Amino acid sequence: MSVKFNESFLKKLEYLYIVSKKVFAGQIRAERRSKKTGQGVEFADHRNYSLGDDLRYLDWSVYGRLDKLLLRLFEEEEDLHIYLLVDASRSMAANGKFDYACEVAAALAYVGLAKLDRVSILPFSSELKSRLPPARGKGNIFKVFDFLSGLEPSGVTSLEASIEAFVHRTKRRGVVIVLSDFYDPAGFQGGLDLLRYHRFDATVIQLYSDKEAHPELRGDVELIDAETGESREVTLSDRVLKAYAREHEKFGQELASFCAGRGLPYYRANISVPFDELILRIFRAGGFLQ
Amino acid sequence: MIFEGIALQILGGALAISGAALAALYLLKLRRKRVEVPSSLLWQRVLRDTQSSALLRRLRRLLSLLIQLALLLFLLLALADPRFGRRDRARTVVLLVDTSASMQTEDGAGMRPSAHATTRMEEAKLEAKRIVRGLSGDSSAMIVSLDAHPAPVGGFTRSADELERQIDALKATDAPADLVTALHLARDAVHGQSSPTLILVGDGAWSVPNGVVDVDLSGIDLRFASIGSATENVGITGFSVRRYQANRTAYEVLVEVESTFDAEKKLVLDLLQEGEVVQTEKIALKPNEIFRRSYSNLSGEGARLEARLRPDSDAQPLDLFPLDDRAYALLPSRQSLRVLLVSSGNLFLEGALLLDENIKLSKIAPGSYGPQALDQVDAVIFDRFAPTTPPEKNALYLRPEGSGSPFEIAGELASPVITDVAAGHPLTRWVTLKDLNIGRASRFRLQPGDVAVASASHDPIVVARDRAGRKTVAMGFELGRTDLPLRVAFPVLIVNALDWFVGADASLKSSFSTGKPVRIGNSRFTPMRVGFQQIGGEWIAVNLQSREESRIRPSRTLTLNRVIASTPPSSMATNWIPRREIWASLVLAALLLSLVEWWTYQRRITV
Repeated sequence: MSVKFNESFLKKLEYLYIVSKKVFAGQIRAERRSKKTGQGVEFADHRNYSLGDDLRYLDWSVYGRLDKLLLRLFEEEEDLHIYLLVDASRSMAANGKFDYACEVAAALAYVGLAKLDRVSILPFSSELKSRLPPARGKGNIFKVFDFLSGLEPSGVTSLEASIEAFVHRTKRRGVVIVLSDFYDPAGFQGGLDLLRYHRFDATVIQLYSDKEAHPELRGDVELIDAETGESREVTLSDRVLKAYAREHEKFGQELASFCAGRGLPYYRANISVPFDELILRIFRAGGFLQ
Repeated sequence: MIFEGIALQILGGALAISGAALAALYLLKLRRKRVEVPSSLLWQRVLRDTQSSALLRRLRRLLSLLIQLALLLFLLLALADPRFGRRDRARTVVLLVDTSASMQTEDGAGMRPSAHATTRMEEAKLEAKRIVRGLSGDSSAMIVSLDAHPAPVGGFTRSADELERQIDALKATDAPADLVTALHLARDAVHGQSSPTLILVGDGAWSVPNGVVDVDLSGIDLRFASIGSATENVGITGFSVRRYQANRTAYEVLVEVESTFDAEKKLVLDLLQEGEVVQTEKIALKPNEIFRRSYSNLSGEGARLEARLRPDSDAQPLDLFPLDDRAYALLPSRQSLRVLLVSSGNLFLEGALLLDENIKLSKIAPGSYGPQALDQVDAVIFDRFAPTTPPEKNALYLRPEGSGSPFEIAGELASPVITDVAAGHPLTRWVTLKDLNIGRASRFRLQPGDVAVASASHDPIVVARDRAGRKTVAMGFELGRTDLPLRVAFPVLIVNALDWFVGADASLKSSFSTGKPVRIGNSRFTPMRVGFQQIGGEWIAVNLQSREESRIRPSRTLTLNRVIASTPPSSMATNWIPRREIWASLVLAALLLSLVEWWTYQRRITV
C-alpha cells in the first residue's frame, strides 16, 4: 500500500464532500431514508394483513371501500449503512489498482462519514479479511486511513465466497460498494446476485489499467498468473494481442450488461484517470448517496 | 546435370551434417521471457480461440524446419554450381572474331542503308555469343580479336558470362586482318589441349592466297561462321601525292579507285587541300573496274590532302562500307636551303644548283674561306678544296685532297668503274651511276658508320657520313674528269645530297596503311585508324588501302590447307548441349525462402 493519506489528500476529500453537497442541494444529514419500510411517518405502501400484525396500522378506510384488510406501511427512517467491499487479492497489486481502490474507498468513506452515515470497509480476496467496523462522523476518517494503509493485496479472488460470508455476517442492510477488477475464475455473477438477493443496494466499480487492456508485450513469453502462479507459454503476435484487447473489452461489457440487467449501478474506471474524477462521476450519475 | 563446383559426394556430406545440426537446433527448447500478469483468466479465453491444436503447432514448426532445410539445400547446391546439360567431351575452343575494317560494313540484319543499320561487327558479336552459349558445360574458350594484330581478349575460361563480356568489348578496327598470325596464335593456344576447336566468325575478307597458310592445323576442329550479305562496294584503294622536284610549290596526286559493283557505278571524286576542293571529277566505273588517275600541277596552301568519293546524286548513299570512301595524304614539306659554294669556278656545279629554286646559293673562292663564311648558310660545297678545320655544317666535298679531307684518302684509282651502289641511300634515289666514265678518283677509307654510296670493286669513291647531327658527302673525283655533269643524274645527285642535308626526305611517304608498321624517327608503331594522326610530333596520314578489305563480298565457306571449315557448333544441338548456370537462381531462391521464413516468424506463423 503506497498511497499517502496526508493532508493534501484530506483536502481533496473535503473538496469532494463540498461538491457532493452542491450536487445534492437541499438534502440534510440524517434525512436520508432507507428503502426499508418500518415505523416512520411517511407512507410507503400497503400489504396484506397477516396474523400477528399490529392492528394499529390497518387501513380501515380501504377496508371500508374494498372489504380487504390491508396494512399501511411507512418508510422507516434510520442511519444509512455503507459497506465498502474492497478487492484485496493479488491481482489488484498489479499496475497500482489496489492503491487506486484504496483512494476511491477513502473518498467514499469520507463523504459517508461526513453525512453521518455508518461506514464499514471490508477487504476480501478468497474470503473476507478483517474489516473496519462501522464508524460515523468525519473524525473517524483517520481510522479509515490507518485501516487502508495496513492492507496488503494477497490471495486469489473468490467474489462469491467473500460476499456470501459478508451477507451472512451483516444483518443491517445498506449500500454496498464493490471495488474490484472482477478477475474471478468462478465469475462475478454469483457474488453480485447474493447482494441483490439479500436486499443490499449494491454499486459495482470495476477497476482496470491500460497495461491490462492493451499489454505492451511481444514475442515468445511465459505468462505467470499473479494469483495462482500458473504459467502458460504463449507467442504474442499482433493478432493475439488484438484478440486479447477485444476479450478485455468484452469482459467489461459482460459485467456492465449484467449490472444493467439487475439495476445495479456500474462504473468502469481506468486507473489512469484521477480518482476524484471517478467520485464526481459517481455523484453526477446520482449514485449511492441519494 | 553436371556440377562444376564442389563434388556431389562432398555436397551430400555437407548437406547431411548441416541438416542434422539444423534439426538439433530446432529440438532445443526456446527460452521464453517470464511475464507476470494480474490474471490469466482472459488470456486463457484468448488463447483458447486463437491457438490452434498442438498437432497443428507442431506442423507449423515442422514447416519452419523444412523451409530452413530447403534454404540450406539451395545454398549448398549453388556452391556446387550445377549446370544443365550432359557432360560431353570437354572442348578447348579458340573463337577468332573478325574485327578488321570490313566488319564495319553496314549490312546487318535487314540490310537497310539507314543510320540504324547494324554492322557486321554487331552481327558477329551476336553470332559469337550464340556460339559461347552453345558450348557444353565443361568446355573452355578464349576470345581472340582478328585484326592487324590478333590478340586474345582474355584467357581460357568456362564462364559464359565472362566470355560474353569479352565479346562485348570487341570493336572493329580500320585495319585489315592478319589471319596467318591469328592462326599461329590459335594453334599455339590449343596445342596439347583436349578436342581443340577453332571457330572463325567473320566475313572471310582475309588475304589467304589459294587457301594455303603456313600453319599446321591438323587435329584442330575448324569451323567458320560467315557474317555479312552485302557484295558491292566502291572504295579508294590507293592515294599518294608528291611534289615536283623542279617546282616544289606544285604537286601531283595519284588516286586508285576500285568498284565491286556488278553494274556501272557513277560517282564523284573530290580532291581537297585543307578542306578546300582543288579538283573534282565525275567518274563512271565499269563493273569491277580498277580506276587509276593522276592529277598533275595541283597547288594550294596547306599540307593536308583528302580524296572523297560521293554518289553522283544525293538520293542514296554510295555504298554500305564508307570507311574506304575517304583517303588522306600529307604533302612533303617545302624547305629552302642556303648553300655556300667554295670553288674557284665550276659551271657544271653552279648550273645544277640553279635548277632548284629553293636553293639560295652564295659563292666564295677557296682563298676567301674562313669560319665566318659559314654563319648564314645551311650547307657548304667544297670544290677541289678541303679546309683544315672541318666546318660545323653539312658539307659536300668534290675531290677533297690533303689532310683536310673528312674521309681518309687511301689511294688513287685510275679509270675506276663503279660496281656497287647503295640503292637505298637517299643520294642514289632516281640516280643511276652505271657506265659512268671517270678519269681518276680518290679511294676513301671508311670509318664505322660511314656509307659507301658508290664503290669501284669495293673501293669507295662516293661516301657519306651522318654523325653527331652533321652530314658529310664526299666524291673522290673531279667533275672535269668525268662525264657525270653531262648526265641527267648529276643535278639529281646534287639535289639529293642537299635534300639529305636538310632532312627533306623525298622518300617520306605521303600516306600509310592501317595495320602496317610505321617508323617515324626512332619510334615505330602500327596505326589502326584512318585519318591524320600525330606521332612523336610528326603528322602522318593513314588510309585503309586494302583491296581485300574493300572487297566486302563475304565468303560463305572457308578452306584452309584443303580443309573445309564446317558450320559453328551452335547449330549442332545434338552434340552441343547449351550450358545454363543456375547457381544465381538457387541463391535467389534461398533469398526468397529466407524472406518467407522471416515473414512467417515475424507473423508468428511458424513458432
